[in-house]
Amino acid sequence: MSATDLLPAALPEWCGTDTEPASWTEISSICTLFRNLPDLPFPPAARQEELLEVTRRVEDAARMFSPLGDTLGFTEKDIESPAGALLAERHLATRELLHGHGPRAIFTDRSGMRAVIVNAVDHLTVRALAPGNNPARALQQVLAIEETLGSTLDFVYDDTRGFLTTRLTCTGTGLKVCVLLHLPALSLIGMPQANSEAARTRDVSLVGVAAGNGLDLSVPGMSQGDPQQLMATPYIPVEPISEQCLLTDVEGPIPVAPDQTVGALYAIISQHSLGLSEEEITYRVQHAAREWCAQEEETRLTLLKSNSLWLQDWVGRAVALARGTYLAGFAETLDWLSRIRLGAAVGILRMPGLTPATANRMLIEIQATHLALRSTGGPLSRIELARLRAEKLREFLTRCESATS
Amino acid sequence: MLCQKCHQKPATARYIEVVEGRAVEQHVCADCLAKYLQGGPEAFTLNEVKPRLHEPGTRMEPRPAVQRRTRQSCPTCNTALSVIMDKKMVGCAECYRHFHDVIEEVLIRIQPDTQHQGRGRARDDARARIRTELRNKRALLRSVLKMEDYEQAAVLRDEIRRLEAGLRSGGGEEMP
Repeated sequence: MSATDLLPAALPEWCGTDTEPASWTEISSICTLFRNLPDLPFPPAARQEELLEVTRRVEDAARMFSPLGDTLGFTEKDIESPAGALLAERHLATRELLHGHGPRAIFTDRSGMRAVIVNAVDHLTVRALAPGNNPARALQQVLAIEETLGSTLDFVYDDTRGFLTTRLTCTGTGLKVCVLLHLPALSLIGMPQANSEAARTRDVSLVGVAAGNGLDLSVPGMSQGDPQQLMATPYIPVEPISEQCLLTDVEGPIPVAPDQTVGALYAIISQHSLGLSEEEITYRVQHAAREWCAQEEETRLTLLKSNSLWLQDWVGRAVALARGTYLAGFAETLDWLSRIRLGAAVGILRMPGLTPATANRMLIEIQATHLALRSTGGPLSRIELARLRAEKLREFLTRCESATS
Repeated sequence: MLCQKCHQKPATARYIEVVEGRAVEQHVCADCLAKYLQGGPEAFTLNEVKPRLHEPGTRMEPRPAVQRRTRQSCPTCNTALSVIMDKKMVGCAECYRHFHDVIEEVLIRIQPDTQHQGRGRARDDARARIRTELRNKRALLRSVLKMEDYEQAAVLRDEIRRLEAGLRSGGGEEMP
């Protein structure tokens, strides 16, 4: 399977579709379920032949029952190619899978909403995404996949501890739930920074979202740029290529402190997996996300009433920069998109084609691998990526303005 | 990822220290990092069993029992107990049995309970799964009521009644 096979006209459905519009604040929900097969060591302690045995067993089960319907399969060779980076930018593959070693695989469906990862941290990592704040729907999906696979595969289970996982933070249900939010108004007044502590009292954590993989490592499958060209450019407002993407680890987006987040993006992530049922874990995350969004809406109204002119200027500057730039860095583009998104949400910016779904799609399209594959298909330097990103931004704004409502 | 020091808050920084000639890395939260920056290396050590300065001029040696215990490794996968304690990661299902007590201690620290409340295996019998679902829904109803989400509580109450009816019609015993 090649990376270009994964680049259909439509992007993953969790961005929102015409029939299921997305929200300005609630971007997506991710549920991840971890399972292990009996009689084999877990991936960090397993030998090559044991990892190969796991891959073989899961492949057989996937072929027999097609838990994902029309399945696309990727082996470790594909994962180390741009296809792996592309799946990671779409939040299907995790950082652990990308940087892993030895036999591993990922199976996805064509909608880009569900994946079964083999030999990341656990033998099986089942992931499903849903648009907006709807982790319950993603939970249904992962449980359905697990049940289908469970009809032929046995999973390590203990009556007291539940499902036994590699990480003790996931033992029990083996579930991690996450909702990705856009909270620009709260970010402006420093609310997430001040209140991330309070979130933990509700068994969830509120974290910022990092650009890149958070490890200072190059992302497999991505070009690392041309050092000669970097030396020749006097001013480079562009990050290294490995930081021009929004990846996920097995828990959700790569976390940073709330005050270091990019594009006013935040994630609510479940903290516990043992002693709570799957539904309770999901409900707590969903409820916390709903509360943060309600606060965001209130703060937007307050800002609009008390600082309307300033807000107009803040959004207007972002539009002007996005229109006028010829080299767009990844983090600054996320910042401009965040302000444009806020402007459209509060009615300051009127562009008929600017909807939550189109804004969500831009979050995917401006990442390094998507830009490179949509352009030449081959490796590009970070400056070329910045040029393509700037072009993409201008084209996006023109399309949004010219669209008929 | 949770802070590998306090196991409570999300890790937001990487801390690397050279311990006995090799670089040891931990992901830590802002508070634990600040603790280090204020107190210096004496206040913050990467390795839990590494001897650390206890009082000025004295050196606290690890207790023999702790030292002996952390040198153990799993007979099946050879994962060292020190790795399980430091990284909160096990190597195989046997680790859970072999290091039962230590894992219990870790779970008490990082999880709200040590008794599984969620679903069982897919192949477990249908009635047992309905009972588990009923127990989970009742627990969720308590949480929902605590958060005063009455709309969701009404939905859950109906689902609980439906499940109870299902159990009754099957002639089985009802959950207490």
